[in-house]
Amino acid sequence: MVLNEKNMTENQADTNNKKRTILREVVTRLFQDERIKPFVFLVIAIIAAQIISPIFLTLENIRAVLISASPIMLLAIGEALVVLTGMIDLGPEAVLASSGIILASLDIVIGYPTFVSVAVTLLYGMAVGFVTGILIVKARIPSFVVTLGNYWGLRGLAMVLSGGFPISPTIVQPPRPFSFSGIVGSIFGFPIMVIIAIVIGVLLQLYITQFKKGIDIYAVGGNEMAARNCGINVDLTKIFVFVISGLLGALAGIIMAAWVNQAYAWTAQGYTLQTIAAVVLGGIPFTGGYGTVIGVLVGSFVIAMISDIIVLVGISPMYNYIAVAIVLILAGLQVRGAGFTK
Amino acid sequence: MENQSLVKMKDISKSFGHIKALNKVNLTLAYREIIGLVGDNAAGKSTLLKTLAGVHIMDEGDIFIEGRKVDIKKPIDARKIGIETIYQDFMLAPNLDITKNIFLGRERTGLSFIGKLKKKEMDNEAFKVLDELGFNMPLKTRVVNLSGGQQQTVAIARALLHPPKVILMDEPTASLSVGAIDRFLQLVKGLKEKGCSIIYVSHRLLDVLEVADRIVVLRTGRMVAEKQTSETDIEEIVNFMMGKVVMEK
Repeated sequence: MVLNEKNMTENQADTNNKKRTILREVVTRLFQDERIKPFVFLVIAIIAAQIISPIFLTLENIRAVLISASPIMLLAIGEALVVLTGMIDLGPEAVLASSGIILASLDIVIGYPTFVSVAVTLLYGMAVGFVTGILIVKARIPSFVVTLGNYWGLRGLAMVLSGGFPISPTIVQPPRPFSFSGIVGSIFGFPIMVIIAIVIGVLLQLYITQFKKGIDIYAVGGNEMAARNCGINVDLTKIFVFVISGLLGALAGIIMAAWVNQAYAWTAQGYTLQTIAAVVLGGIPFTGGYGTVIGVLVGSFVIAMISDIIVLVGISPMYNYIAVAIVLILAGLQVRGAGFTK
Repeated sequence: MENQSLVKMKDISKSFGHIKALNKVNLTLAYREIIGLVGDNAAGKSTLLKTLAGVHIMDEGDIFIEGRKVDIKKPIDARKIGIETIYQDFMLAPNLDITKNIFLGRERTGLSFIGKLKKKEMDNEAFKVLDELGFNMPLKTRVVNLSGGQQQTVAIARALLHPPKVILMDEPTASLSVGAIDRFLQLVKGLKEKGCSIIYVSHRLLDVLEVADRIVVLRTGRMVAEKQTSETDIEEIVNFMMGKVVMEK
C-alpha cells in the first residue's frame, strides 16, 4: 500500500517535471524564435494598449493605426532587406521626402501625365538605391556613411527642388489635383495604402523564403565570406537590397503625397529611426541573417500604436519619442535574450 | 590513368605587398592520391591551397587539370572544374539550415529567371549525401545549433554534393575533438577509396602521416621536400620544415 502510494507520488512528480519542461520549451521558443517573437511582442503591446485605453481595440482606431503605419511599413520592408544582409540604410525618410517633391513637381508643376510622373519617381528611388549600392560595394564606403549622406543629400535635393515650400495641387491655376489620390481610398472598407504595404510585405516574404535571391540575402548576413566563397554574387545582392529599399522609399513618398495631398521637403522627419525601430521590433538583429519581413510589418504596427496610444490617453505628442525609446529598449532585451549581441 | 597527374601547379608565385608568400612552387597531384602539405607558419601552404581554390589569384605560374590549362580567378571557377574546399572554419552560414548550407551558391531552382527553389529536391539530395556520411540530423536544423564535428560533416557534404575531382582541406581538424578527429581521418581515407584526390593541409603531422600518400614540405614560400609517406618519418619532416635538412635534388 505504502509502495503504491510512493509509486504514484513518483509518477506524479515525473508528469509534473515533463509538464514544466514542455512549458519551458514553449516559453523559450516564443521569446527566442525571431519568427514568432514579434507576434508575442504584438500581443503584449495590444493587451497593454487595451488596458491603457479601452477604446484602442475598436475597428475605427485599428484602421487609423494601420493607415498611419503603412508608410513606415513600406520603408521598414526595404530596411529589413538591407539589415538582413548586415548593413543599414539611414536614408529612407529622405528618399520618401525627395520622391514626393519629384512626383509633385512632375505631376502638378510641369503637368506630366500621372503614369509618367509615378514611373519617373519610382525609377528615381531605384536609381538612388543603385548608386548607394555601387558606392558601398565598389568604392567600399560603409553603408552607414553612404546612407547618412543620403539622409542629408536627398533632403537637400528636396529643399532645392521645392524652394523649401510645400507643393500642393493649388499652387497652379487652375488647381491640378493629384490624379492618383484614389490610393488613399478603401476597398470594402479596407484602406488601399494598407493593402499595398501588406501585399508587398507578404510578396517579399515569399520571395526571400522561396527563391534563390532570398537565400543569398540571408547568407550574406550570416557569413559574407562563406557566401562569396560559395559563388554567391555578394556585391549584386547588396546592390539589389538597396534598389528595393529605394523603390519602396519612392513608393512611400507617392503614398504620403497622396495621403496629405501635398509634397513637402521636411515631411516624414524621424521616420528613419522609426523604421529602424520597426526592424528591431520585428526581430532582425543589426548583424543580419535572422528575421522575417512579416515580423517587420508587425514591428511597424507596434511603432504606430505608440503614437496612437499617446493621442488616445491625451498625453502630449512630445512624449512620443520617449515612448518609442522605451519600447525599443524592451525589444532590444528580447534580441539580447536570443544571443544576437554581436 | 592512375599515373597521369590530375592537378599540376607549375611555377606558382604569389606576393602580398613586398612579402613573397609563394616562390615558383611546383606541385602535382595524381588520381586517388592524398598529398599532405606541411610547413611552419607562413610557409605558404594555405596560400597555395587558396590559389588552387580561387580565393587568391596567383601572380605567376600555370595550373593544369587533367592536362588542360585552367584559369581560376574566383572560388566558383574552381568549383566548376571539380575542385572543392573544406576550410578550417568550414565556411558555413550559421543562420541557415543544413540543406541550404549544403547547396549554398548552387541551389536547385526552377523558373530560372526568378530562381524558385526546388526545396523537396534539395532536401532529398542533402539527405542522400549526409546518409552516406552516416549523419542523422533533421535537415531543418540551423547550422549554429550543430557541434563542431557536425558542422564539419555539413561542410564535407557540401564538397561531395557534386562528386569532386579534388578536395582541398585546410586545417580541417583544427576545431574538432579527439574522437571527431579519428572519425574524420577514417572519412578522408574513405573519400580516397571512392576516387577523390585530396590535398590535406595540417599542423598535426601525425594526422598527415596517417592519411597522406605523399608529403610535400614548404618553407618560406618554397617547396623544400617531397617524400613518399612510407619513406619518411615525423622527425625528418620536422627537420625539413625547420630547414635543418636540405633535400637532395
